Parts: sequence; C-alpha cells; structure tokens
Amino acid sequence: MIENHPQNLSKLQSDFKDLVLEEKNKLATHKPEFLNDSETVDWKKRLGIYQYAVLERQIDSLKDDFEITEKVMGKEPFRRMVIACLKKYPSTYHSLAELSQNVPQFLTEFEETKTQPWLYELAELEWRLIRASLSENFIVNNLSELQNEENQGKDLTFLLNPSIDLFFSKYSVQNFFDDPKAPRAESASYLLIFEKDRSGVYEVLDKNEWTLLKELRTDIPLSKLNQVFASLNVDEAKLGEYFMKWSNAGFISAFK
Amino acid sequence: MQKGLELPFLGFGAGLRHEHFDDFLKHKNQVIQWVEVVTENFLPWEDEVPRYPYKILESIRKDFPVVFHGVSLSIGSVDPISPSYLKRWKQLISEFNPAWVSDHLCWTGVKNEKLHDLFPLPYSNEALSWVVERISRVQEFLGRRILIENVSSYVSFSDDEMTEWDFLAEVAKRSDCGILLDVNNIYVSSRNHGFDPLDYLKAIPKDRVGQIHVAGHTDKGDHCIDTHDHPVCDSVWDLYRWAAKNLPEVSAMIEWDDRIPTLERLEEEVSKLKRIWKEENDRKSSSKFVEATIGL
Repeated sequence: MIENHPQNLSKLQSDFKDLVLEEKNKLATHKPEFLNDSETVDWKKRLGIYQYAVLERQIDSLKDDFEITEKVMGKEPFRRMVIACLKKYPSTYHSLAELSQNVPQFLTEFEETKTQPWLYELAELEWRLIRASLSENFIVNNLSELQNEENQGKDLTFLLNPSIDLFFSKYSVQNFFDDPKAPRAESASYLLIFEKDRSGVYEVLDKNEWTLLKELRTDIPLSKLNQVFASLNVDEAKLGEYFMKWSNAGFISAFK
Repeated sequence: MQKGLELPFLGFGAGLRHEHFDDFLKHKNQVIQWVEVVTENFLPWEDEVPRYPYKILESIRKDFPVVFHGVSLSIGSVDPISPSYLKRWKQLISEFNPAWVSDHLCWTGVKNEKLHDLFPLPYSNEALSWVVERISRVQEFLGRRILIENVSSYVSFSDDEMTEWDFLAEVAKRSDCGILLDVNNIYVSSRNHGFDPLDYLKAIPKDRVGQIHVAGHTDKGDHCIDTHDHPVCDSVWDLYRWAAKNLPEVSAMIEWDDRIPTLERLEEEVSKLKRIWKEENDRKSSSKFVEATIGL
C-alpha cells in the first residue's frame, strides 16, 4: 500500500546518516548542500553533536552491559573493540539494549581478541546474566501437591524456573568478577545463572548437579532423569538432596 | 477531560526510570500522579524477552495511570515501518491499557540501520505527505490515535519549505493525531536556530495537544543540548507557565533521563509543575474546574 517513495527525503537521510557515521577528522571541508547555512554555529560542530550522541550512546550501553569484560581488556582496547563491533554489526534493533548480543561472538572475530577465548566466555557470561535479570522469575509453587495420592506413581516432569540458565566455562571466567587479573589458564566451571531481585546472579555447581539441571531444563520426565542420575554414578541420596535444594531455592517452578 | 482529543487529565507526572522502581513499588512517591513509560523498555525483543519484567509494570500500574512513550517508531524514516514492532507495540498496549501512546516526529535510522538518536526532518511538503501517510497507517493498525512529539534539533535543512511549528500543526491536522508538546525541546531548538519559542507555542493548535513534556538541558553558551540531566531552567519554566495558562486541561510531566536524581528531588520538580499550573489557573479563574482537576 505504500505510496510514492520520497526521493529527496530518501537521499537526505542516506547522506545525513553517512555524515553522522563518518569519523570527525574525515569530514569534508565544505558544508554539504542539504544542510542550511543560516546557523550561527559551525555546521561541523552541529553535526558533531549527533556524531557524539550516536557513537557514545551505543558505547555507553555496551560498557554498562560488559563492565567486567571492559575491566579485563582495559578501557582503550575495549573501546576499539566495540567501535569495530558496531561497524561490523550495526544496530538493527529497536531497543539499544539488544545491541549487546553481538559482542561475545565479535570477540572471537576481532583481531586483538580472537586469541583470548576467555574474553568470549566472560562476555557471554555477562550477557547471560543480563538476560536472566530480564526474565520472568515465577514460582507456581504447586510442589506441595506432590504428596497427593493422585500424583503417586506418576512419571512426573519438573519445570525449571524460566530465569534459570546453565553455563559452562573452560576458564572459570567468573573469577574475573573479583579479580580482573585472575589467571587465564584452563580450569572448568559449571555455573547456574538465575534472576534474583531483578539482577542476574550465578552460583558455581558441581558437575553432577549442573548436568542434572541441564537435563531437567529439557523437560524430561523423572524416569529419564533417574537414568541420567544413574549414569553419573553418585550416591542415590544425593538426588533427593538436590531436589530439596532446588525446590527451596525456587529453581523448580512446577511439575506436570 | 480534554475536549479535542478526549484524553483524561492525569495531572502531573514523571518519566518512570528503573532507578525509581523500588520507590514506586514501596509506595514512597507522594507527589507524582502518573508515569510515562518508555515503550521499548517493556517491549518484548524480537526473541520475546522484555527489557524489564512485566511484573514491575503490572505492580506500578495498579497505583498509577500509565502512558507509553516510544523512541524508535522512526515515523519519518524512508525505511518501512517494522510490522514486528507494530505488532509487539499493539500487544503491549492491549496488556497495559495506557491512557495514550506517543512517539517522536523524527527518524532514527535508514537502510535498516538504527542509530538510536532522534534526527529532525526537513520541513518540506514531501516529508509532510510522507509522515502524514505513515502516522495514518500506524493509527489505523493500532486502532487509536497516537501523540507525536516535537524533537530538539541542532541542524536544519535546505529543503525546508515551512517552519517546524507549521509542519507539526499540519501533520496533526492531516493525520488526525495528537501532539506531545515538549517545551524544553522548543526552547533548545529556539536557541540553536534563533527563533522565538513563543511564536512556536502560539502556532500550535490547542485542541491537538495531548501531553506536555518539561525537562532540563545543557546550555553551552552558543547552543543548547537536550540532555535531560539537569533541573528545568527558568526559561523553560516560563514556557511551561504559558502552556499551563493556555492548555490547562493537558497533563504535564518531568523527563529526567541522565544523572537521575532521588525520587524526592524529582518530586520537587513535579511539585513545581503543579504549583505553576495552580498559580496560572487560580489567577485566571476560581472555577471549580481548578479544584476538581488538581485535587486540591
């Protein structure tokens, strides 16, 4: 149903965008024709307000979301990385906050960081924590009904709280949260991520608990979970302990 | 009730920022009568994740009227309007039933690239027809009127064929939309382009104005930047005083988006809105409308 495409407006917007994204020191000497010259302040200064706002707003948003990654990398290298990231993956999002999803992957592509895999893992962890902070955290709390006669002997499926995410790190990148200079050597960690008081938080788990939760997350019935548990070759009483803990912490939202 | 647009008078509000979520949830606010929510903060992302959990908005709207204010509709862009965005926006509206919804008279990107800033349009007949057509289509899709806000600007274009205020008035008239009148943006642009802000205010059709924004800015001497990180300056308060007198049935609010103050400080600014409104309308009339409207 669209209308005649406005040719002049189209050219103006395209030219203006190119100027706004141009590096300041590469701006042409002469004022572009489409800008008015009846202004009291130099056109470069006026355009610079938009250039600064566009770039810094995006950088600030990424700095907010990757605070620890910036600390580990250092301010200038981080800035270089995000400017390159914005160039390669310009925003196509309505919300500025969505821009952050490109950063972890870009760290594996960027010349200065691609040989430092812990940076990808760290950025991915920060991104997952943000996602958890935004997710719903509800507890249906029907677990007391487990004791009901009608549920006895049923092959039930337990549903995890929707804020829960499970993250494996080859480099224990959570250590960077306390010390940005923590060792970069390989050292595996199994993390549980969830929402608490509108923040994303993590907890380090043992490998067995992490594996069970990962299976639970796929909505498998209890019978299959028992099979997974059996393959882990740990004390049977431990499964009960895990369930008690997950239930008390609100990690299990409901059963069906 | 406002006559032209038939919008309720909500009184004196503020933009809801996450720094004040807890204050609102704990009922600490005593002054702010309604809140404006940035649409994109609650709009589910393309992959269905909302920016902030809905439950916060659900709680707050139990106590306060809510309106939605978007920043990325990009009504003036030559890019197609995203059907996904419109669909998610409509869904959000149906879930929270805001008193009204708004966005800006601007473009925010082109060629599928979003620059996350509010760029002015050339005030040309071509741009006018383009924007009118797009607002009409958005309103048709949403099944309701929207309000369109004047933005602050730092450049103007050689394609301009009319003033910004004539352009805005014509957009509202032809597309049958409302106007969100930002008196701070008028002031900032007047300083940057050298016009009289009262000429702007006087030219706006009163029956089209559905909401008023008041905010702070940064004064750089030879120009101003719309930063929303300062208290409102005297010159902008003067413009609001004019609006309070001439648009008494229009709800007004404070926008404070950076260097966010405490809730108490924000309440002081909102109280000043209320005080000025009362002074202007007491002076004009001691009618029952004033008492009934402001609840004093």
